[in-house]
Amino acid sequence: MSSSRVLQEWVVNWLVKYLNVSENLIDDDCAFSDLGVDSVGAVTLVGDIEDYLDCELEPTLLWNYPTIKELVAYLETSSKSSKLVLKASIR
Amino acid sequence: MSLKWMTFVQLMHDMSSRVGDRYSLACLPKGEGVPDTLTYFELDRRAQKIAGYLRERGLVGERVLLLYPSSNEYIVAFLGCLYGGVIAVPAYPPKNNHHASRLSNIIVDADVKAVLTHSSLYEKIIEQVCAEMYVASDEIDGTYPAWRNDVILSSDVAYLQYTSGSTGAPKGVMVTHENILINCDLYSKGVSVGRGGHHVSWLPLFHDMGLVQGILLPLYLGATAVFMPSERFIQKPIRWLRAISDYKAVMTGGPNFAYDLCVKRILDKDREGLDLSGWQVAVNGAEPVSKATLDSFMAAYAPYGFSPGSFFPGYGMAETTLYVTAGDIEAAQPEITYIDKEVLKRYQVEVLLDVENPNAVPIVACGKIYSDLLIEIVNLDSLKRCLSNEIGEIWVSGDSVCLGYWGREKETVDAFKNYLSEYPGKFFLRTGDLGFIRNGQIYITGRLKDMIIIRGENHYPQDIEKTVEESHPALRIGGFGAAFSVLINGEENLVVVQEVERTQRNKVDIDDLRDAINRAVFSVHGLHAYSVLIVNPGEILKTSSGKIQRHACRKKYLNRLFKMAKGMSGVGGANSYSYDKK
Repeated sequence: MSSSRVLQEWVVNWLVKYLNVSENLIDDDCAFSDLGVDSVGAVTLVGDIEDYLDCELEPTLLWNYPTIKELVAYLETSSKSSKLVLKASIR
Repeated sequence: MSLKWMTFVQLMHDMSSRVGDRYSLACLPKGEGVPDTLTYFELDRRAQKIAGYLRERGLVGERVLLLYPSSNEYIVAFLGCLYGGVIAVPAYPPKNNHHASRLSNIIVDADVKAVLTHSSLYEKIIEQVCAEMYVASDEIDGTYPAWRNDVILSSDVAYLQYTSGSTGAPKGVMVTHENILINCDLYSKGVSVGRGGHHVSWLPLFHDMGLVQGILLPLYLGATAVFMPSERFIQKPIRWLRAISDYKAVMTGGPNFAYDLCVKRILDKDREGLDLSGWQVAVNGAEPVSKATLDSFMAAYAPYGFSPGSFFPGYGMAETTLYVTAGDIEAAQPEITYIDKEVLKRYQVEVLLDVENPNAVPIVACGKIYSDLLIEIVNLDSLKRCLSNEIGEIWVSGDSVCLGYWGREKETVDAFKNYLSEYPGKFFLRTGDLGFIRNGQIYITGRLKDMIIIRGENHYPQDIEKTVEESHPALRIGGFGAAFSVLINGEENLVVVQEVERTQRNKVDIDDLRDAINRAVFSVHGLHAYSVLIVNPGEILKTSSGKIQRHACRKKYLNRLFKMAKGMSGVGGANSYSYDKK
């Protein structure tokens, strides 16, 4: 599986668990805010991604990457986490 | 009131000479691990250096905006302003360009002359924030004329506390040195917390509770202020309790939701080894205090040494520096009164002894009233003192009530310059909160103003309404939307109702409108609306002069009487059908 696919699935799973919404309501173009994420959810998600990828991220990341697609693309391309995404895809 | 110190600067300088090698600040940037520390001596020196620089730049008496993440440098710069006789304006670095443009409202309102920030943010801040002068305080070095203790007066304004982080019509409360000293004195006596020791905070430093309770109070007591950025707490609430346990903190606090998070988002295994037995003062303030929260927190953490007598439900606001009341040191646990909710609607108090009565609602007392502050309940129509069984507006008078709002004469007179015939010559602050007094304790039952309080943060409905109407071109602009809150499971939740433009109503996809509103409300305010309703033109209730009637809109919403725009009802999505669900 591609690293972006792994990440995307991880984020969707997180949203399903955190927001208690059905997975089929979520697609790539969804903005986190449409799904019910507020500022508490936004920084919590970033903290959990930090743990998952073992990297450091700006807590305000979701303000600049408001959709699942944009966030995953950022995580994949940002140089400091690209190695970590690879790590994720191996897992 | 006679105080030992004339100004907060004098106090800090005194601490430096008496307990200079003690830690004043211990910041946990990651929420855990090794803290960044500064002793009282180091803090005094660095503040003097910044003060010298600001003076040389001619900023004495001017306003300086502080844009820092939660860090020791934030406090160094804040105190540097105070030492230099410069008025500090605590704020925070913008999250994005949208936020940055909101900051400009504060810059204009306070007539800010310079921005102080950290060198790591310097370039970004210049790009995002428009100001006359930018200074990276951590790079200030060099020698400046010897600092003198005598140029600042106790009546001087030390800082402006903005009551909302992102408001279109910002109001900056003028807090004097005397206000800080008196409020810290009253607060420490009111909760009976001694000198020294450790305090813990995760509250934002631009927030009145974060600044005064989290930092200034511990400094006033010669204690160590252990603090972390708020997102570190939100991400892992255990970090707060861990810091309390590790540092044997005597006092800390937060809004009600923080205690809820500790119950819901901390696993049993993460609680292992916690020792909360040294935690004497657990303040719960800045939003309504819920009995259910107190009960569940107690049940979860009593096994770790938390005692019910440590709960201090509190009441306060920026306009009173912070503290008005908090808990009761003599009570074994917070006092709770059950009142009849039907009688409450008529602004009357009927105490119910039968707690099983279906009309009984528990109200948690928000602290014992001491004689240093005058607190009266005032009838809204007669503007005279209420009878003991009446609910009215809470009015406060005393030396830690602030001067007023910076540059806003009319708002200052309306809020701060009120009289009661029983107290000739005394000014009272109208708090806008509703409540009653029983057994010398204050109870809050509601709010007069339309302010929406979510997770301890104040949001003005007009700000949210502006964000909403500007979020999509098919929405009717110029005040045809209403933002208000409804209680869901005892928690305040945001509801947005907005009219669609007549010419657009059959052309646009309702889902697009709702998504646009959701994104904008999150981006600007960090909130998620429980319910977003797109309604037909003419549905929003207004007065004859065109003012939005939010209370009436709220009632219309609860009675499900809004005529929704085509395609609105029954549509899927996170918050569209909640209107139908109820």
